[in-house]
Amino acid sequence: MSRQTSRLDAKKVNSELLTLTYGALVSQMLKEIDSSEDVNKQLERIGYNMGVRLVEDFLARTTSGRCLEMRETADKIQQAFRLYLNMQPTVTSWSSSGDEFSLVWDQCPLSEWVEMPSNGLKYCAIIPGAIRGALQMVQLDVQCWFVQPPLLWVCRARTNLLHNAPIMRALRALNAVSNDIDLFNCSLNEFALAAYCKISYSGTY
Amino acid sequence: MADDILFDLLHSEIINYSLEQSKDNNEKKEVDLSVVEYIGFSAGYKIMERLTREWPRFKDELDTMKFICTDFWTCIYKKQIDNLRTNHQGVYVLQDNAFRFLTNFSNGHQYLEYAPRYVAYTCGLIRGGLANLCINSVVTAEVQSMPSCKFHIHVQRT
Repeated sequence: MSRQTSRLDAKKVNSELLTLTYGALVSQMLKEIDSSEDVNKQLERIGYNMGVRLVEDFLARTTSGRCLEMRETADKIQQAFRLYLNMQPTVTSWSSSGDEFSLVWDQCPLSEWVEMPSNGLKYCAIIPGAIRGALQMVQLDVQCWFVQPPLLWVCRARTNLLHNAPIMRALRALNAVSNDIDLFNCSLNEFALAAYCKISYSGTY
Repeated sequence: MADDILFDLLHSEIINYSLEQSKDNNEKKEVDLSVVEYIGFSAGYKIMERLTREWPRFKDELDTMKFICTDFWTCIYKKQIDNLRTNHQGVYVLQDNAFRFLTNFSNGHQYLEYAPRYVAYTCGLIRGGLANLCINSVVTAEVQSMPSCKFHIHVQRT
């Protein structure tokens, strides 16, 4: 049987099985539980339980010491993502007090082959749960949630030239506005007004 | 690519979840593991499609079972099945002497009453995998002493 064993990569199969099992679990939950809000909550709780146990494995494997500030914690979380899911989220949007940051990723192994229904389901809700659970075990109480993705993707240019281009400024402005107001609840005139206010009152755009 | 431990943790959380759901629904002592089995089934059904994508067609039922025992098992449980027995009439018994989900529990009879929870997913996985290869079956598991486990596959012929 040795002719065949080389054809399957155990690590890959395991990862695929995780993805598929998770998918089966979520669809089963959607069947059993009526509102997708409750499904999100359940997933978050499952993530929490996993994170509580995962952090021990993480500490044992990386032999990392205690984090003294939030930036170190962010680094460690990034490392954990690399270790467990083989993905590299970027850490952005630090708040000025340094106690809030965002993790941004494009594609997560969990949501491979997944098409989302548009009913408010947060498919990867176990990830924030896991982060919360893991950090609680190292005496850090955090809140972790999904913010909605930006309306329009602004490309990351290496020079500032592109940043000053009118179209880039427009995209950024629209994203900033759409964070503040709900696009679908206002008319076009209101939106234009909001965009105008945003642009004229904030120096960055 | 995700790490193994994530799968282990997810597996035990699935069991946890289904126990909680069934506790709400009925107050009987019997635990309802059908959800766990079903999740295993749908995962097994889909993973089999991916695994056998570049595989030559299986000759017969026994060949399929051999595939399950060697390649399928090696990928998921890190070892081959230790013993495969059949009566050539549609009953197969797969014996694993150190089953991955049971090795961490005990080495003997302690916690034996909880063992069914941890084999239900795998029963579903085998059944789903076989279902995708057009073999309808009933898979049951038997645990007599802890890390070892026997899976009985009854192929349904119509």
